[in-house]
Amino acid sequence: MGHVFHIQRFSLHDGPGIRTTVFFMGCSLRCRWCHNPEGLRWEIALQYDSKKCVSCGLCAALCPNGVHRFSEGGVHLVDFTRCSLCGQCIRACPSGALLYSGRDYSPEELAALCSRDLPYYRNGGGVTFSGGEALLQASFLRETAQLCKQRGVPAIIVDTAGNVPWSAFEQVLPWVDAFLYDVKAYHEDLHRSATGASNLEILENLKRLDQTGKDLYIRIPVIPTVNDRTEEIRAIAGFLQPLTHVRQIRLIPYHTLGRSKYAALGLPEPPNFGAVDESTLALLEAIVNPG
Amino acid sequence: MLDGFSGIEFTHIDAVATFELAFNNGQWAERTYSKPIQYWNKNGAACYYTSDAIPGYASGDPESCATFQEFLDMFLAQYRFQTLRKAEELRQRYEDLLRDGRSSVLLNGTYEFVLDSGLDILRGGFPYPNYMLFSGSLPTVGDCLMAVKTAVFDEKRFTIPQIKAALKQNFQGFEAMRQYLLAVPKFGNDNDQVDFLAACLANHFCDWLTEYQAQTGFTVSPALVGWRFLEEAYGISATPDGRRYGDPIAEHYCPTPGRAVNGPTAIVQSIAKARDAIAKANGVCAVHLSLPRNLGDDDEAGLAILDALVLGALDSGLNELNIAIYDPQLLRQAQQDPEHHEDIIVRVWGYSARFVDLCKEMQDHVISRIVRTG
Ligand code: SF4
Ligand code: SF4
Repeated sequence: MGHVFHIQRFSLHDGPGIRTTVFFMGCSLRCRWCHNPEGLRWEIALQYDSKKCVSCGLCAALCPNGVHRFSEGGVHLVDFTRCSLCGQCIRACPSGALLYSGRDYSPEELAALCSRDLPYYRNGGGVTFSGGEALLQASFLRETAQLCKQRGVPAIIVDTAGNVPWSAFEQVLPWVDAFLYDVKAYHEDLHRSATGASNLEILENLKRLDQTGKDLYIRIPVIPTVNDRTEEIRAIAGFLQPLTHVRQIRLIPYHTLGRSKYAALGLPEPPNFGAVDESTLALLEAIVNPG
Repeated sequence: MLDGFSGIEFTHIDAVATFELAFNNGQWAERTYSKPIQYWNKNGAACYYTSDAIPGYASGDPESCATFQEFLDMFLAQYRFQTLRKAEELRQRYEDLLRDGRSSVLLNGTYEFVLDSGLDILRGGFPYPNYMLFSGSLPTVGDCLMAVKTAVFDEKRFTIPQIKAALKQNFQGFEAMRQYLLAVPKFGNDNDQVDFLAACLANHFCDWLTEYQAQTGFTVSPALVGWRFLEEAYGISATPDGRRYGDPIAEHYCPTPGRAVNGPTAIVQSIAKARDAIAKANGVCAVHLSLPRNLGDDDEAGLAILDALVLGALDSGLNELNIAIYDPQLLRQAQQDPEHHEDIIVRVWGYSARFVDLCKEMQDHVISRIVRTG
């Protein structure tokens, strides 16, 4: 079984063509700008959408652990740490404000869902396994990808940040056609402070992956005050230069979408890095894609 | 030219209104709200619309249903009644025309068949059936049936009287129920249960007209098309799918605007489940897909995506796909500032119009049917 938090059909930005993107749960990095916080943890958790709540009080009445409380002013307070995920409030909530943050899938079930758009997987389209870090569930991914291939999915892509042992790549390689690969920083100390982890293994894995001959689509998030300096991007570009299977390098400017999801999961609000200005972006773009 | 004497006739039946009648044993729902609207053109006079389905046929009291199947059968009885009544109306119209004997020379003269045979359309100079009955909005009815099935029969969360009470108030004071109903699977998301419910209605509709022909000898061709989606939305009450009064209902055989959240491929797959009915309707099933701009990173990528979408839809059994690409933000700006956006042309129904000339309700409809993509 694998843990998945979202399946997006007609996904257009996770590789070429029309794709179905599967978002796996669990991540080995802690990027300070992460916009998919549901993917941070592997464990399925309680999710609460305050916009949908109609304050009926059912959840508070049902919960055996006192997770839901209402303040004097009628504000719904949720103590996520006490939740044992018994599911009672989720089943009872009349408005769909309470949800599981993800769910279990068998490889067969997931491959069947990924095959629903088979008629549209042309012109490079297919299935993308993303996350979180999809390769943390490498054996589940391998089984699912193999089943997808058997069902006729033409192009399977794995979207990874690369912070996994090389053996995880080896497991899935036979069934994967291309990789979307995130490079967040070149300098190790910067990478450590921005993501909580070293990037030595990430860069090493990328070099080895290049030698397998799989197509590589590189993505660099541009985060103001973190890695938006020309020296840093130039260093990344310099590292990528000798690689021979890079099909595309894309800068992904920081955006604030997804910030509201932190509160829904009971996580502290992340910093706001602000917008990347156009001129900086143009400058950096000229570095990674000259001419 | 004699307007109205072409010998080609069509009319339509309001499927969502028919649902309202079935839900209330043949009567219109009680409601506490109503709003006049302008129709199509913002310069037209506003008036109240009523459905052209007719009350009075008691199809059964839904509250007496022990199972969803019984409920569905009651709806089908009402829908069959309204369908056959409309078919009769067409036949009557044909007989009146025959008796009158006149027909438009100009219109008849545009058909080669007529010129070759020397007979006008009324007198058999045209070899194809030219009387058509439209039934659009079936996906919204599918959503309503699915909501009742889930809420009343499967999960037993609400009773029919409770839902009626909420509809009467346009869900005011019943927001929790509305959210629950909205969360029930909707047509257009490639959910087999609700998609096949809608497909089953389309099938029945086509079959009834085949039976009608067998019984009367008069051919009425079915079409899964509808053009009164806007008046319907204001002519009927709120509905059990969580739709408030005035919120859009489905046009043709497309999803209820705003309810398809899995993108256009899922929409096409949902529609394609009715391919048997579409074949029975001789392919007359309009599928309108409004897509947002920026489908791909650049024009080439966008074209590759459109190409895959169209070919995939063909392979899935659709023979008509009407794709329009809009920028929802720009349309909203045009609503605020019509003077500077007079040039925007949008597809409305079988025709296109300047966006700023449409009434507010139709503008909202056009914006709300733009499919969200990931
Ligand atoms: S899932 Fe169970 S423990 Fe968690 S908040 Fe809901 S009722 Fe309480
Ligand atoms: S049960 Fe749902 S709607 Fe009711 S108070 Fe709890 S979260 Fe809000």
